[in-house]
Amino acid sequence: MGELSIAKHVDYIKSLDKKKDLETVLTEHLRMSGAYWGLTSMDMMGHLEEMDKEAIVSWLLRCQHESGGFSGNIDHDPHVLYTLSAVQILALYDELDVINKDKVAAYISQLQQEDGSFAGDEWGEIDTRFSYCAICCLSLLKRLEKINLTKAVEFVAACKNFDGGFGCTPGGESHAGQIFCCVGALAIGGGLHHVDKDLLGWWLCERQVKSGGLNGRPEKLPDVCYSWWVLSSLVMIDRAHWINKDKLKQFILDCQDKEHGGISDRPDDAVDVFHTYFGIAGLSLLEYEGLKPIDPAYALPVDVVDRIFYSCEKKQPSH
Amino acid sequence: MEEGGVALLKQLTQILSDQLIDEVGYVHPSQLAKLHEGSTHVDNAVADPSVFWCGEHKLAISTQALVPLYNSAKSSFFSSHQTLLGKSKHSFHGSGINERFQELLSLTRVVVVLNPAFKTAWDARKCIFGILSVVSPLQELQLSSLVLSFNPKSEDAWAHRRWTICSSVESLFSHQIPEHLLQEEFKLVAMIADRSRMNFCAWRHCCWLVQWMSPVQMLQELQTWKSWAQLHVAESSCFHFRRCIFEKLLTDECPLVKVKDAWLEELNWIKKLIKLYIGREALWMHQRFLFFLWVHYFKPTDPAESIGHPFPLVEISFANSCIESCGDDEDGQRQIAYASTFKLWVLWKCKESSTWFDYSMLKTRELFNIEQLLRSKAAYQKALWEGLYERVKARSDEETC
Ligand SMILES: [Zn+2]
Repeated sequence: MGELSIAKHVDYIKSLDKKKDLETVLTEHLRMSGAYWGLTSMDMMGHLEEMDKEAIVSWLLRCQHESGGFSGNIDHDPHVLYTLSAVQILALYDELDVINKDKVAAYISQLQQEDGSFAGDEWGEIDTRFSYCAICCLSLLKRLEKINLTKAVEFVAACKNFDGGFGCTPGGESHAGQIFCCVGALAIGGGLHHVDKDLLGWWLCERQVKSGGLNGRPEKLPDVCYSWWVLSSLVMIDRAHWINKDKLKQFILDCQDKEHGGISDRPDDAVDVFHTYFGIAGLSLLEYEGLKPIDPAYALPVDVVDRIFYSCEKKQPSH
Repeated sequence: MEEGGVALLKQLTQILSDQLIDEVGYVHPSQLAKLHEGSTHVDNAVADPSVFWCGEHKLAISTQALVPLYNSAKSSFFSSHQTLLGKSKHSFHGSGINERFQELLSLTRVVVVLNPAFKTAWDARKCIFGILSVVSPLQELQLSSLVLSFNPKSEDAWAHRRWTICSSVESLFSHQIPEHLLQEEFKLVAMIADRSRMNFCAWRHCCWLVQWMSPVQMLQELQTWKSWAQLHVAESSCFHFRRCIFEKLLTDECPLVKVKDAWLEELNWIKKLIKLYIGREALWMHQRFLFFLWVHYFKPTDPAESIGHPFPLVEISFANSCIESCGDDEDGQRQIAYASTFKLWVLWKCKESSTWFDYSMLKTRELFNIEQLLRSKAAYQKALWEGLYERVKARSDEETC
């Protein structure tokens, strides 16, 4: 079995910010998420300190708006997707105190709708992805009481399908990425009892194809990013032992560009930071040696999540 | 390079002011040259022929010019956006303000054509839509269609479409989508789904439209999409759209017998397709759904009604007949694996819903069969089959205790 070329992937991620090619130019609007994928990968590989923390945090703060929300880059409109990425980056750096948490929480809570769902921004598109972003973000900020969590959980539960999977709205098609968001939201929001674990585990494991890779829906080709979405969901519902882990590990390793670093969606395709992150995160869930373990719900290294939820309790033992 | 970008931006803005342009393509410079050679007439004589080709309301742009064009469009957009919609925006009363909004609108058009994922530009249009009354819903739908013509999976173009329809449904159509608009939307999806396979966003749009449909329209669409589905049996999303309709019909005021008729027709149809197209996962998934519907809605309440032919047994024999009739090639192996999994599904659902029919004999025999088949035909998924098998057995044992 080939090995994970950590040194190459580290170089690849460090090189990303200098690129000026079309691909880079056309994805500037989602730089906040790009930064989160790159930095979390660096942290899992144990190389986070090689990134310019000061420059990143000061750029990140320039992406915050009056409303409290963050945009994907300077001058763009804020969105809950990038607000979560920004909070995750600050969590990685243990710098959550540099922002006004109440303001961010206020931005998120005003996106909640009557039925418990969340809009992504002021334009009202509804999606369970946004429910996940809102719940995950508020939990990291310890502000979950700012929303109606019961209703938020009920909305996600209402998106469950006959096959045990979840869609973007009630009646929406089951999709592995959507399932991660719903199961993650339920895990953080205390609603995992809404999941039929056997049925969902069944559907998720059927995503594994002969090559060992996972797809996101029936009849689709395997893709490295589903290694994360499917596997993290399986871990959260305690069915990861139903998957063929060795074959999956092999599939992810086969998607590496061993010469220039980075991981692609399928063997021999062009690499990008998105699939690099999901490949490394998948391997981390598979307990690959040399990688920090990652939390399946918060999508952050376990030590980062522990630091947020346990360290302050140690500092204040007074209750 | 920057100067060149500004000049090109001017040309592109002018070309795109033609609202009738309905297709855009990004092509290699050599392809662009061929286009020019092959056409006697071009729509736009001022445009740089090494960058643009424009004919019959179709536009081709050279990939080589994309970076300077985009950079220039982006900076013009941001500066106009900042002044008109940004934090320090001026009041809307100034003279020439309409022209300036029109200018921003044309810039957003250029930006989303160059980069459909540039959500801030789509949203600027929504803002202007609220401020001025010059923007028509038709124009927004056309722009969305134009972008979908070259980027059929653009989430933002689909979302802009939904936003446009929602805002006009409220203001123009008194909370109903007129039939002709509904049909236009389905036409667009069919066209896009033809060219862009497995397009999650396109089918999501169909499922989204279901909320506006009456039971009669829903039953009609089930018929209409049949021939499309038959030609695309791997399109799981198309079958999901059908599931979406069935679920909606069952919560609406549609008489249950009508839904049951549609369900029966669907069942016969899907079985025919399963026999015709060997080893298609999407078909077997749909078959699972139809059995699920039987368990939850169509199961007779009186056991006497189906003595002799309990439906679960009919379904098990159907799966068996599929297993017996297929060969040992790859499609055949998949068919056997899906049929066996389906039998597991039948046992699982019967147990789960405490379906009355006595399946203890069948259960022992079938579980053994299923185990044998799954292990030999889908060996790489051994851990799953073992896991599921244990769960079904555990559920059955609970029952015998
Ligand atoms: Zn992918």
